Amino acid sequence: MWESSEEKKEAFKVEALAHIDTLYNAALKFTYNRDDASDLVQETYFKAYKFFGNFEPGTSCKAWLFKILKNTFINKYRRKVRQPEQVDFDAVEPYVDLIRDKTLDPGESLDEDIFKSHMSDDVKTALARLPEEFRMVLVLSDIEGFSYKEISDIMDCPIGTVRSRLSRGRKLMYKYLLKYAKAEGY
Amino acid sequence: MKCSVVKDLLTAYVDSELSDESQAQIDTHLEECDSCRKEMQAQMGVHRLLSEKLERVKADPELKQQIIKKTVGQSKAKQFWFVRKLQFELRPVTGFAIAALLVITFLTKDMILDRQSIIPVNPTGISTQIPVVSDGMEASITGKLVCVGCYLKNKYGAHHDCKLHGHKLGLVTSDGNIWSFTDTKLADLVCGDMEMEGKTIKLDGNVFYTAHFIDIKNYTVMEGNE
Repeated sequence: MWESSEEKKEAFKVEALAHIDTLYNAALKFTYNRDDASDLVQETYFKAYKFFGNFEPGTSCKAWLFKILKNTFINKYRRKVRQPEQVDFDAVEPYVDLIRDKTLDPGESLDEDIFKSHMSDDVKTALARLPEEFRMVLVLSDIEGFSYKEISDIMDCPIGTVRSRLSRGRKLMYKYLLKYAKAEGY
Repeated sequence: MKCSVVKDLLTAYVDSELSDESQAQIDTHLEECDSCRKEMQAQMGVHRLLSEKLERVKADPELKQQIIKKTVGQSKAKQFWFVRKLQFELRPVTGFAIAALLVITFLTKDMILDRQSIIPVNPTGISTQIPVVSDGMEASITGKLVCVGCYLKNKYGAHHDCKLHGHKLGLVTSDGNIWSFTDTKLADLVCGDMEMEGKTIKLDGNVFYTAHFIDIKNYTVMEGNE
């Protein structure tokens, strides 16, 4: 694809290296540990450089890098970093839909002002508590702004699954945030 | 539209992933239905908190240096390793080794000269103010904003299709080097606006010399733009 290694380097600099901060920010939300996040991003870039010939110019390099990041995370870091207080996906998955009716009882919903005043620490804590499968799609969608199609490519799952994990992840987040808001006296 | 259908579609509605027609149908439903509207607001609220409230954490400069060094910056190290390996393997035949090393030194010298000779001299007529710095250090660079793809295509015949994939601005300095920018809001201001193309600007920030990347902290559009 590239006629010389110089050309490959130039393309890698322009296309890939601009996303180090973005990948690190996401890696931190996957691993919740600075050292692991650094290792994960480094490994992602080494693989990306090695296999840069597989990247199709004109497609999103950021999405391509995120796919490598996600695969590296799943294969190497996931078991190591699972947080003790984190909710297990398999345990919670069947019950998430039940949350809706309860949280949205009149008088129990968060109005817009309360949402606005929510501290980023609460949001961070709530996100960290989410089962990993939900958290990853929320990071990709709400934080990184990927489309459903891109997330489905990155996560290797159908678009319907992306949608349902987003919906359930947001409901759980809502539930946690409502709890924190109540604890803070709202 | 029934509430059950609307509730199934709310996530995609919040993410603007529906067709205009479905989006409008749901708009109409939400105006009338309190329960669906509350659910939409809950999802939208979480979406906004995540996209707006969370601080974006930057990678340490050391991590960036390490990545750059071990990817695009690795050729020099490899060359060194290759010469060392040759030296080691040829140690028993010292005379031959010396001859071989002389040849390698001679070839390498030629290669370096060749590489230098393809660097265009002063293509912009603008002097670069970058001193020799190590990766991650603060420095100022002055140069001209060009579309990197078009520039590489015109200069070296690179296969870059800007018509299809869009232009992307970078900074060309007087020594012919091209600089890109790390993903920041400031960089978006500088290179996200094609009106800036052709302008001469001075950038202050952390400079990653190996990868020709700049973490822009400040920029000044210089006088006498084209």
